[in-house]
Amino acid sequence: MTNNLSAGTRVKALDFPRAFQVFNTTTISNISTTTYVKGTPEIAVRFVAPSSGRVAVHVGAGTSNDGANNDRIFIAFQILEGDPANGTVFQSAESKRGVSNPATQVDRDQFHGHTTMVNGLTPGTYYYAQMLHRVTLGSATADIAHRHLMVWPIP
Amino acid sequence: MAVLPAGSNVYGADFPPSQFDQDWTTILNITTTTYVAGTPEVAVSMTAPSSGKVLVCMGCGIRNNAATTERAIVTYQIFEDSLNGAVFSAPLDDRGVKSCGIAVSQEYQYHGNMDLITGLTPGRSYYFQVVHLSLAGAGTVDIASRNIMVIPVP
Repeated sequence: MTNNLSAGTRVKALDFPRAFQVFNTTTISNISTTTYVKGTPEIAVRFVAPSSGRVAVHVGAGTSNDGANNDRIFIAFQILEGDPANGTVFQSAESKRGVSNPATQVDRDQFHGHTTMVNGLTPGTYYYAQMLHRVTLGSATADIAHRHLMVWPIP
Repeated sequence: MAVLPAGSNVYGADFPPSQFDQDWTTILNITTTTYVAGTPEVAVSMTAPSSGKVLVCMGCGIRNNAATTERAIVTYQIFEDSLNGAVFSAPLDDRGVKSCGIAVSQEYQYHGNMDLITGLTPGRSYYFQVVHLSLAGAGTVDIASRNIMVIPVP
């Protein structure tokens, strides 16, 4: 077999699909849900898994708790297979992969992020990464200042 | 030259697989004021790509379980070849995660940090090990989780 590549042509891998991110500065105040919800607006990206089956997922957020209590807020992500309407959960929301506040009154927003790997994805198929949040006590004193979700394929 | 069937995807041979390790074992009442690896060890090894550059993303959960200003730092160090090799980069506070040091008993706070490591020798193996310390050695700070990811980058 021959190909039409000239000598010295730089071959670029077709492998890596697009990276995606969503950054949203809508505040979500006085959060009372103690189970993970996606919030309004929903922060999510749909992406194609690369051949490696690995992506890096970054979640970032501004969080605060302006109540005199020990309520905690967790910002996390989950990954669904295929379409969000009927997708099976591939990676469930896990607080240790996200960001959280220190469970004490911190009136001012704290901005931070966390990046982890999700592996074992089926190459070439679609996945849906979605930000979720919850609080532990439901005190309606924790707030979100912004949310940031980024997914990029990695070797 | 390799024969490629029509429709083949061409993959760059250059980039070794990204590596990730995490452990959610708690490490309680930390008294060390010098960097230690913790148990179990959280670490990955990787062969450096041609660029000599990797992105290191680490994260953890830290708390101070007392109404003091005690703090902890979780970061990483890099060895050439293996854990027994020469130190390529000693632990740096600034590229890790440092707890907030407010004089209030806290719960675990999860977050991370990332840094671009350059100057690696292409083709050489490197060992990235998560380490931690407490600033005052008071025995009140705890760690809930540690994770590290190393991604080869152009």
